[in-house]
Parts: sequence; C-alpha cells; structure tokens
Amino acid sequence: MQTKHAHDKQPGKRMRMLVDTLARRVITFSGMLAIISIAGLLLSFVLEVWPLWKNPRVEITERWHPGELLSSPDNHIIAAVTEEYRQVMFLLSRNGQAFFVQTDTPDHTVLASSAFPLQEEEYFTGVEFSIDGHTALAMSNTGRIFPAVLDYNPWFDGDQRVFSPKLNLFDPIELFETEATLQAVAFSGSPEEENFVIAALTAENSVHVWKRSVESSLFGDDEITETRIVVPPTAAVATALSIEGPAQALYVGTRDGSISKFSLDVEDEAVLLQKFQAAETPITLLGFLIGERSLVVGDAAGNVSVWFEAFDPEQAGVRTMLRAHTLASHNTKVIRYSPSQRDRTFFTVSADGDLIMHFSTNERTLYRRKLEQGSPLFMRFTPKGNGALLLFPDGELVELAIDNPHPEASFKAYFGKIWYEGYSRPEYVWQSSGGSDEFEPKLGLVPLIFGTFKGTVYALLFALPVAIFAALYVSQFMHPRLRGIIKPTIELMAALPSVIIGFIGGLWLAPRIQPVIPALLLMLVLVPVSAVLLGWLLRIVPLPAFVKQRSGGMEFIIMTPVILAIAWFSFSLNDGLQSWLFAGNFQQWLVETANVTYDQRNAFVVGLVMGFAVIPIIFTISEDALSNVPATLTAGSLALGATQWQTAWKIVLPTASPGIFSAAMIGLGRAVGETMIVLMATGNTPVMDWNIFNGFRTLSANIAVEIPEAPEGGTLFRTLFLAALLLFLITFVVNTAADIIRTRMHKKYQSS
Amino acid sequence: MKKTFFTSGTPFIWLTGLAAALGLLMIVGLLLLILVNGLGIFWPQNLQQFTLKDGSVVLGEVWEKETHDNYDTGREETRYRIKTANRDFYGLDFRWLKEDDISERQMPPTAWVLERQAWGQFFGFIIRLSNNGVALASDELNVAAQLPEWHEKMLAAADEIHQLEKGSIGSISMQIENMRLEKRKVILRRDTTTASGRAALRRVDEELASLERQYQELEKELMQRITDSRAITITLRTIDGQEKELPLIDVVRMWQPNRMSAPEKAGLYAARVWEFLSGEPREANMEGGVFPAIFGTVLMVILMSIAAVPIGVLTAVYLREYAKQGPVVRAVRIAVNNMAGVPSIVYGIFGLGFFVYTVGGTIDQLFYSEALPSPTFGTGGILWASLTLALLTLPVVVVATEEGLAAVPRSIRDGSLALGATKFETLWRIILPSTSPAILTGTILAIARAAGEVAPLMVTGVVKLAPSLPLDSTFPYLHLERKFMHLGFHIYDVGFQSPNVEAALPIVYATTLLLVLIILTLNLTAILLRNRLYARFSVTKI
Repeated sequence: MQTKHAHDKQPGKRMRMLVDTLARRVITFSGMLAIISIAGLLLSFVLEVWPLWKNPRVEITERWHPGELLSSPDNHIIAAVTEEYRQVMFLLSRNGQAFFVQTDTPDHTVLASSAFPLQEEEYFTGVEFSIDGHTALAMSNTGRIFPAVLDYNPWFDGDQRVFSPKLNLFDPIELFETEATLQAVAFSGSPEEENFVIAALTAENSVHVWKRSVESSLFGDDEITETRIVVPPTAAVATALSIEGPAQALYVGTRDGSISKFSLDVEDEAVLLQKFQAAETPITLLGFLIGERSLVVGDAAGNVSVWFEAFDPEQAGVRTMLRAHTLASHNTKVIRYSPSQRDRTFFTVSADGDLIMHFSTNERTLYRRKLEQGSPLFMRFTPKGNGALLLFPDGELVELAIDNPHPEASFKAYFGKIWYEGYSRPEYVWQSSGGSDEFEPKLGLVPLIFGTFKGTVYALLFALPVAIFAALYVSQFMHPRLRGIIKPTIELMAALPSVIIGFIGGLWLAPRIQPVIPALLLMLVLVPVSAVLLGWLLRIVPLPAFVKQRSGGMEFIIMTPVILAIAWFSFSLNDGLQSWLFAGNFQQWLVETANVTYDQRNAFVVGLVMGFAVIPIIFTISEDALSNVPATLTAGSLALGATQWQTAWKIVLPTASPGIFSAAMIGLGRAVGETMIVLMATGNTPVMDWNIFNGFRTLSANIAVEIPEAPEGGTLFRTLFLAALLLFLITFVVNTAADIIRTRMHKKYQSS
Repeated sequence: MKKTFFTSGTPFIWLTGLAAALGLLMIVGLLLLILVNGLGIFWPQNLQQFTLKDGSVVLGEVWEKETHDNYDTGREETRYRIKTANRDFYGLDFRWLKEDDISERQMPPTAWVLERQAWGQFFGFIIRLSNNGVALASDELNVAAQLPEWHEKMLAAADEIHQLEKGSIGSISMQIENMRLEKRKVILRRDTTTASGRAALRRVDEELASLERQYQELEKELMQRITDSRAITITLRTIDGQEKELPLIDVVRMWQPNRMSAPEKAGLYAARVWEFLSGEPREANMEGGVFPAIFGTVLMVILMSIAAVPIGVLTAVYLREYAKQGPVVRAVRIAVNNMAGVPSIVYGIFGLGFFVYTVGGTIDQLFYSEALPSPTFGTGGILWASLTLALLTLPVVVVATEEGLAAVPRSIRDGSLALGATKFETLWRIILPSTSPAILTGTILAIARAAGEVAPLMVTGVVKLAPSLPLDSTFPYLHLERKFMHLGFHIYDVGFQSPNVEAALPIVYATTLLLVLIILTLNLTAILLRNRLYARFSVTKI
C-alpha cells in the first residue's frame, strides 16, 4: 500500500522538485539582476564620465606630395587648407598657382585652378590665413601683398554634397613705393568687407600698416578711405606682429621680449596704448585664438603663454594685458602656431620640429610629438578641429586626424580656479554656454558644490533643531495616546512631492516673506522665549492639581495657539519695526548697511521650505532611535531621582545619539540631492556667497536646468554626468555611513 | 523656585513641545493652504463694480485684501487685489485698488463672466447677439434670454468640429504619415531598379495620393464648418465702454454671477471642477482641464509598477529567503536601502544616458531606421520614464517586502517544511500570502513616490503639452514611445515657465490640490495596510 502510494507520488514529486529548483533559479536570477543593476548604474556613470579624462588621439591618416600637381621644378606648394568636411583642399604654390583639389577620392582630382597675377621673377614668400580660413593674404618677394577669398561653394546634388569652388582674387596692395622684403604680415577683416587692415614687418624691421575703412557720409554715400601708416619704432627691434580685429589693435613683438600694443582706430596714426614685457628672449610668435581676445605669445627660448586684456587687479578701473596662462614650453624658438576654429585648442611648433597641442583655458598639454621631418613650412587646423595639415620642406603634406572631444575637461577645470578670458584673476565659475561659438565654456563645479552645501546648511540649520527636539518631545514627553496620531502626521510631510513644496516656496512664500522679514526675526526671538515663559507661568500660577497633571504631555497643544498668537502679534508689529529699525524698508536698509541685495528667492526661503522635506526624515529616524532606548535605563534614572528632562537629556539623548546622528546624515543626504525645491525656490544663479538673502545653484538643479540643452556625448553632457556621479557618491557614502551607525546601535541595545 | 524651575528642565520640555507644535503646524498649515487655495478657485465669485474718485470704473472679483502702514504718511492703508480679467483690453488680469480711492461699490446684476478659448476670462456685458452681422438681439435683456440656447448650439457645433479634427482627419493624417514611412522603407530596403521594387513603390505612391485627396476633402469640409460656426457673434462691452465682437463658439462657458443663487453657484462649481478633471488644457495650459496629465501620471505609474513590483519582490525574497546570510548579503541590503536615498535627478540622468540614448538609440537603429534621423525610442517617452522611476522605487518595494518577510514567524516556515512542502511551496502558499499586505504597502508607497517625482521625468520624456495620449484607439493602442504629461510637471511648468504666472496660478493651485489628494490617499492607504499587517502578525508572534 505504502509503496504504491510512493509510486503514485513519484512523478508529482519530481515535478514539485523541478518547480522548486526552477523557482530558486528565477529568484536568484532576479536578485542578482537587482544587484547588477545597482552596479550597472554606477558603471554607466563611470563610462559616461570616463572619456572626459582620455587624452586626445592624433593619427597620421595620409601622406602625399601635392607638388606633383605642378609642372615646373622651382615651384612648390606653400600652403594647404581644407573646408569643413575635408572633401576639398585649397593649395597655393610659390609661383602663384592656386588649386582646389578633391581629397575624398584617392586620385586628388583638381576641381578648379587659378593663378595670381604675379610679375616676372616675382614669387610668394609666405601666406597668412584668417582664423576661419576663408581669407588668404600672400606676400611676394617684391613686397606686394595679394588678398584672396576662398569660396568652396557647397551645394547638394540629391543627398550628395558637391563643391564648385572658386578663388576670388583682388588687386594686390602695394604698401611700399619701392620693392621691399617682408618678414611677416598680419591682417584683420577681408577684402570683401568694409574694414580691412594689413600690417607688415619689413626686413628693415619697420612696421607698416595699410587700412581701408568705409564711412557713411550724411548723404548716404559711402566714402572709402585708404590710409598708410608707419608705426613708430619701439625701443627694441620688431620681430612679430598680430592684429586684434574687433579692437583694431596692433601688437608688435620685439627682440627684447616686450610687446607694444597700438590702437589703429585713430585716423592716420598708430597710437601706443601699452607696452608690456612678455618674455626674456625675443618674441618669435604672436597670434590670436578663436574670438580674437586671447593672444598667444611665443619666444625664442620656446616659452608659450596666453595673454588677454582685463581689469588690472592692482589698479581699479584700468584695463591692461595680463599673462593668464603659461603653457608647456619648447626647447627652441617657437616659430609657428595654428588655432582651432572650434575651441581654444591650438598647435605650436618650434624650430626643431617639436609639435605641441595646447588648450589655453585649463593649460592642458593635449598632445606632443617630435616631428621627424623637422618643423613644417605650413601648419593648419581643419575647420572642425578634427584634423590638421602639415606641409614639410620636402614637399610632403601630412594629414592628421585628431580626436579631441573634451579639451575643456580636466580635474583643474572642474575643481580649481581657472583664469577665463576677460577675468582679472583665476576664479571658480560655472557658465556652460554663451551667445556665440566663440564663447569660452566655464565648467567650474565648485560654485555648484558650494551652492549645494549652502542650501543644505541653511536647511539643516532650521530642520535639525526642530526635528530632533520634536522627536525628543514625541518620544519622551508626549502623551502616549497622542503619539500614535502625531507621529504619522509629521511623517506624512515626507510624502509631499517636492514639486509642491517648491511651488509653495517659490510662488507663495517667497513673495510673502519679502515684506515681513522684520516680523520673522521678531518671531525667532519671541517664540522660544514664550515657550519658556509659558512653562514658568503654568508652574507658579496656582491651578487645580488635576489640570497640572493633565498638562504633562500636552505642552505642544498649548504651544500651538501661542505660536499663532505670537505670529499674529509679530506681523501686526511688522510695519512698526520696519520703520523703527530699518528706516521703513528692510531691503533698502540691507543694501545700504550691509551692501547685500535681497533676492526674492533666496537661501532663507529654501531653508524654510526644505524643512518640509528634511524634518520628517530626521524626525522619524531620531524618534525611532529615542524610543528604542531601553526602558530599564530611563526607569533607573527616574528611580534615582532625576527629573524627566534630566533623564531625557542626560540618559536618553546620549544613548540614542548615534541614531540621531545617522538621522541627521540621512536628512543631509536628502537636502543635498533635492532638486525641485531648489530649482523652484532659488534664482539658480551660480554665485559663491554665504549670504542668506541671496540665491544659489545646486548640482542637482544645475543638471535639471542644463541637461535639455546638452547634446549627447558632448563635454557639457558628460560634465553633467560627472556632477550626477558626485551627487551619487556623496549621498551613497553619507547614507551608508548612517546605515552602519544605526545598525551598530541597534545591535548594541538588542544584546544588552 | 526659579532655580529649580530651570534645573528641573521644565522650560526645555516646553521648548521641545514647541518644536513638535511647529512641525505639526507646518504640515497642517501647508495642507490648509493648498486646500483653501485649490478649492476656492472654481467658485463663481460675485463681480463688483468700483467707482473711483477720479471717475473711472473697475469691474472685477476681489481676490485679496492687504493692510499696512505707509512709512511716509504714517497712516494705515488698505488695498484690494482685483481680478479684472479682460487681458485683451488691459494687458493684465489683476490690478490693485486703494480703499481711499474708491468712492462707490455696486454689484451690477447683468455683468457676465465669460470663459473664452483665448485671452482668459472676460468680465463685462454682452450687448448684442448677431448672425453674420445681423442683430438677433440687441439689448442686454434679450441677449440674456436668447444666449443659452445659441450657446448650446455652438457647443454642439464645436464638438462636431473637434470630432472631425481628431477623428477622421487625425486618422487620415496618421495613415499618410505611416505611408510616408512605408515609402522610405521601400526605398531603403528594396532595389527600386527592379520591376517588383518599382511596382511596390508605385503602389505606395498611389495609396499616398488617394489618402491625400481624402485629406483635402475633409479639410475643406472642416474649413466650411468653422466659417459657418463663426458667423454667430456676440458683442462684448467692458465696464469702461470698450467693445469687441467675439464668435460665440469661442466662449467655453458663461454665467452672470451676481444673479445666481447659492445652489446655482454650487452647480456651476461642480461643473467647473468636472471640467478641470476631465477636460483638455487650453491657453498654454493656463486654463481648462488637466485630464491628459492625470492620464499620463496614472499610466506612467502603472507601467512603473509592472516593472518595479515583480523584480522588487523577487529581490527581497532572494535576499531574505534564498541568499546565504553573510557580509555580502548585508552589504547588498545596505546598498539597496541606500539607493532610496540617491537623488532622483541622478536616476533621471541615468535614464537619459542609458535608457533613452543607449537602449532607445539601439532600438531605433534596429527597428525604426526608416524614421531616422527623427528618433522613435531614442528620445524621451513614457516607457523610459516609467523604467527610470521603476529603478528609483525598487528599493521601496524591496525594503517593504523584506520587512513583511521578516515579520513572518520562523515557526510557520518550519511547520510547512516539516510537513514536507518544498521551499518554493512554503514560499508560495504560506509566506507570500502573509506578506501580501507588506508587498501592497510597498507598491502603494512606490506609486506615491513615483506620482510625485518630477525631476527624473523632466529629462526622460515628460512634456508640457502632449499632442496625443499614450493610449488610444489606433494600433498598437499603447504607444510606449510617446511623450506624456504629468501632474507634477504641470505644476512646475505652468507655475514657473508660463508667460503669465499670475493668471496661471489658480490652475496650479488646483493641480497641486489634486496631486496632494492623490498622494495623501495613497499614503494613508499604505499606513492603514501596514497597521493591519502588524495587527495580524503581532498575535501569531506571541
């Protein structure tokens, strides 16, 4: 019978075991999944942030000899530039031939060619391009200067981008009456624009300026004037030139290492504005970065620095040239540079072929390489900053591919003081985007970290005492029957969505608080005083015994109308106080006496409303900790004659202090990460200022504000991930610490 | 006496009592504030006419009274905040009136309040009702008598137009869009030089042409109806005599508050509350209803629960019942607990980077390449938002379930195992049923948390105005890739991003109240359930 039974059950049992094993597998898998997803979360942040710290990759993609296009042996290519998509390259030869060559096909088809009107025996000694690469200025051995404008003329044939390139030639500019030999030229504007300025340095070391300006006369006729200026010689021999277009300023570098800055704005003279010592050795290179504000200075000793004009930190109100960045230096003289058209990346190369890719803002050396062919004749970034062209004396053109996605990122840029363009000194600044492409992104996270802690500190300043005192009261003194109602009610506060708290704080409280600051200050004093006074009064006033007994545990009920009454009293006194103490207007008084402007949405408002988010958390955990103190301890204390308060303060509170500490930590974690409240109740200005009546911007609000504008994979996008990773780590560490402390305390009292 | 008073610590007890009272006042005060502001908004207030000392007249609702001392004169001054509406006439909806400037107050019985499709409310008088410029009624009394009937007709016409727009035209334009994608698919995937490829292309083109013809016909009909319906107009006159003609169809609702009795007002109140709950938003979300936001919130929360609850429960079961208890499990448990403390925006940006760009981008590459470069799943949507929130609320479910599992007495487990049940059978038949209230509590808490979160949604797919709901009658009915509206985001967006915040505040307060009610209800349910759970097992424990 029994065996039969067992036999019957056999398949069922196998089935049951199968189900059991299967269940075990599924559950284990799910558990692992959850654990993996936490690890994955962290991992995905790290993966997103990691590329910020990767060094740029630079590779040689192609080497070829463009000189093969030329027929005569004394001719060779002296310049090569490309358009944005690197499909078409412009080449210029010594004898004045110009070609547009297709470079995305291997056979380098010539799309268009033209020739500069050079005379017999005349040839080009050098060519300068504007930063955008569209204007070229070639100088000939006879001292004539040939402007030209490159027009790639892209259009679409269906989905295919094709080019009909064209070179627009302009009449040569004859700076000198006789033949002259030019060392260097610099220019701003273009022959197609109204304003066009050229400066040239002759072999005799004199500097000549030619400028064309158009002035509209009263009758609507444009008057074109051409002016020639000889720049007054400076003490030392001139060696390098550069023109700052927007400011119409000419910089002349000299053999003694000084730079003279002239204004070309005056009609027919060059006015010396400032002379400053930029190096110990002769200046060999001057040039601007994108935006034409940062001046790159290279000297004969190989030093590279970046200068710009800003207010003098030592003399108020005076603008002067400041040496903002000192970059990696070469061993010998710096001879050439090329700025990127995308950001503040630039190449410098020295006479011995040492090539460095710098980033001006954070002084990073992005790449360095010794060129085996020596220093190039000509060097240029491609327009998208994704490559470079190097033309060597042996006629070889080397094309580089550059992967330089995040030059702005560096530890120093995020957490250190950075000297941004136009600033008088290095500062912590967050300003991720500006109006134009030439904007210098300022990605300092310090103001945001500061804002995060400012908000947290003000929130905790208010929330900590309220929450811990309330917890002490509820756990130790409150009537037990009431505790069952009061505790969940305060806890309910934690459930309120932060968007609601932020809305009430930003749109209801902030405008209403503004006129009643004096009343609030008064309340701050009166309310605690009244509590003490009330306790004293109830003690000395002869009341029937049963009332006194009943009032134990009911203090908070009595306090409620008292608080309301004091609030009413303070608010009715507000106008009087305002007139008496603050000359009728608190905000104006604040500006006049403390030089503090009052922002409507400020740290004070945030401190108050953040209380709604933080108080219930700290309260609940503290209350649990306080209630968990073993009754034997309190009973012992009371039996020894200590009063209720003495027991609570000297026995219960110290015993529960780890729990309260962990509550405070968790509250801090919540305040640090809170997004909507600070987003709505502060002005979100990333300023660093402890003032309670000013706003701030936190890491979390910054993410919410900026992520919609950040293109995927860009520097800003990854920087925001870095901010999120920071937040994650801060809160995770704080919470874990709190958790460990709490468990330890729990164990201690369980065992005792 | 005094000394003992301080050493006894009584004042400090009072101070702690003060803190407790403050905490209570904060929560109660906030709830009252939301309640009063949220409930009062739909009540039809009387319109008061103020004649000022300089002879001008103002018509409006009194919203606020404020008294303060004037520093310069030293006198107490009272001023009123008046909602004058008529944004199209005055530029603003509100103005302040000083008590001292008012010489006379009246309640004009014939004054109307109009809720319009544009420009917010109108306060004033209706002096003419016309059809194509021909007067149907030209004095206030006649107008008032005839208006309700005409307005009824116009509402019906508006309804028909709406049906036409959303129904027939909407479905045709959807079909056209699908056909376009189909065409791209043919071009992308098939060789159009072959005969069959060309034939397929031709078929698609023909289909497309026929659809476009239908579309044009329907559009013509729509235009005709719109022109017809706009012929019935009313002439409005403000209190200061400015006039304006308005097609009656643009009036959503109209009433004469000064003539209404209390029950009538209550009826109107109910109707307006219903419109708020069930209607579509109007005027950049500043008027009308929040139905799409309610719908979006609910659907998002459901999707979130579907993802979070099973995984959360299984994880808790694993940690409590299957995993070997030790330092690793303890570490994992701490990690899971602490995930609840990680800021929600961090989850949001993770959702954006991982779900939207990585997973969504891959899905687009694989399945929706014909629509590229415009993304389908590679942009924020309800699925990604729900999954992000599922991750965020997972710890809530895990912790609550673990608590429930821990509350099941050891003896019950042992008993079941001793009777020969497998571990899974014990779990399935004995432990999980006893844990179900805890799981439910966790789910409700998770839902309450998810319903109130805004920051992570802002980056993963919530929008201020979604053109269509994520659930509708076109295949495949549930559109997981669509963007959606959300009550919490609605509060943020309307309150902080709308051009006219002052005029938008009422709807924000109403939305706030709605959201608070939803969340408090959910939380109270969770608390009650938890109490029941404790009650149930505290007996067995003994």
